[in-house]
Amino acid sequence: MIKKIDNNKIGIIYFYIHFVVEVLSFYFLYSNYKSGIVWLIPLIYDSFAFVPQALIGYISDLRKDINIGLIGILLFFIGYIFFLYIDVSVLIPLFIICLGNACLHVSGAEATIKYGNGKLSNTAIFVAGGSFGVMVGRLLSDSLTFGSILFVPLVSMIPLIILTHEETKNLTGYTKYSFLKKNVNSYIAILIAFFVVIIRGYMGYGIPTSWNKTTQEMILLFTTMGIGKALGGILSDKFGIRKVAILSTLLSIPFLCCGDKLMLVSLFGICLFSMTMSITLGIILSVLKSKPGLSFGITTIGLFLGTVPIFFIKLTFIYNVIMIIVFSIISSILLGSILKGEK
Amino acid sequence: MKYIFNPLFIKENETLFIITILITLAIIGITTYLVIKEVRNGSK
Repeated sequence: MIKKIDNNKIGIIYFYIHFVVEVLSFYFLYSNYKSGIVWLIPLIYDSFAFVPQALIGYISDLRKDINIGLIGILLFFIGYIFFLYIDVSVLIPLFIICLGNACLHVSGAEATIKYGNGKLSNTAIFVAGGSFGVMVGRLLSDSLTFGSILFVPLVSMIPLIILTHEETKNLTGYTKYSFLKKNVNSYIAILIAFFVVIIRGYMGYGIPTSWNKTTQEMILLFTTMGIGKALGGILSDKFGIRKVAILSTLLSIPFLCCGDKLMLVSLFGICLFSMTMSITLGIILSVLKSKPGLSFGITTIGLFLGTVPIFFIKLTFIYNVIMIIVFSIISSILLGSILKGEK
Repeated sequence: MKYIFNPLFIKENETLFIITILITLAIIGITTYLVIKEVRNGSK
């Protein structure tokens, strides 16, 4: 099949789609932040946007003719109509938007994985778009009163989703991901990747960042996270996944621990720490070769489980630092033990 | 996002909270089954 989309462009197209998806999701979330069930809203959002991605991904893996991205756009459209124009409980648009979010994530993951042909750059660039979207969605919820304008970026995704689905539905590039050493047990590999994702999910919230107080600092934080996620895939393709996994995890420790009040130090650590995002997906893909959607969904379940503790417990600074050090070292050792050295 | 846990939020929305947790656990359970099935079948 002749590719109409340049190989490097698929990541950028889904960077934009992921960006729009998170803008819409976080504009909705933060606009409802003051409602009566405020504490439950983010928990429900995390549950129903992150967790079902594995199941949706599995269905999409089996039924390649279904354009799961278009279903996601339709769900967002319905959710936003309820949110903006119909006086109903916030839960109705919340559930619909969550499922739309999940469908579009799966669509992006499958397209970039299939196009990647064993390389992580495209998927990493797609994943990075989310950080920028979360930031812009949060900022817009404070300043944008005419929410209907957000239908414009929503509609703008339709031609991109149709084009990329047609281009990628019959591709088999997902079978070329092979990042594990020989004879590594499949269950062990998945469990290690899952563990590392949970740790990263928790640390994303647990990193001490008392410097982060102004809007500009928040923008810098999310921008750095996005750059780190993209760099993880790009550098893995260039220098080898094992080197990047071990070095980024270990090097981030001093910067994260000492950056509580030093913004630049902290940002450098966050950039390094964010790099493992696509690496863990690469590990799972190396096992579940024919199931890119399910593989991606496993990482999002891990992210959900990593974020759950922050809803119930609040650790002190010193406990967070200890956890960062201990779990980063464990993650680094585990990743080093299963990833193969060559590119 | 930083949310401070307040047990009142659960008490006031107990049913919703329990339903959310149960559905989440069910989906995680089904996913685990699918992953085991795929690994056993040798996902190629």
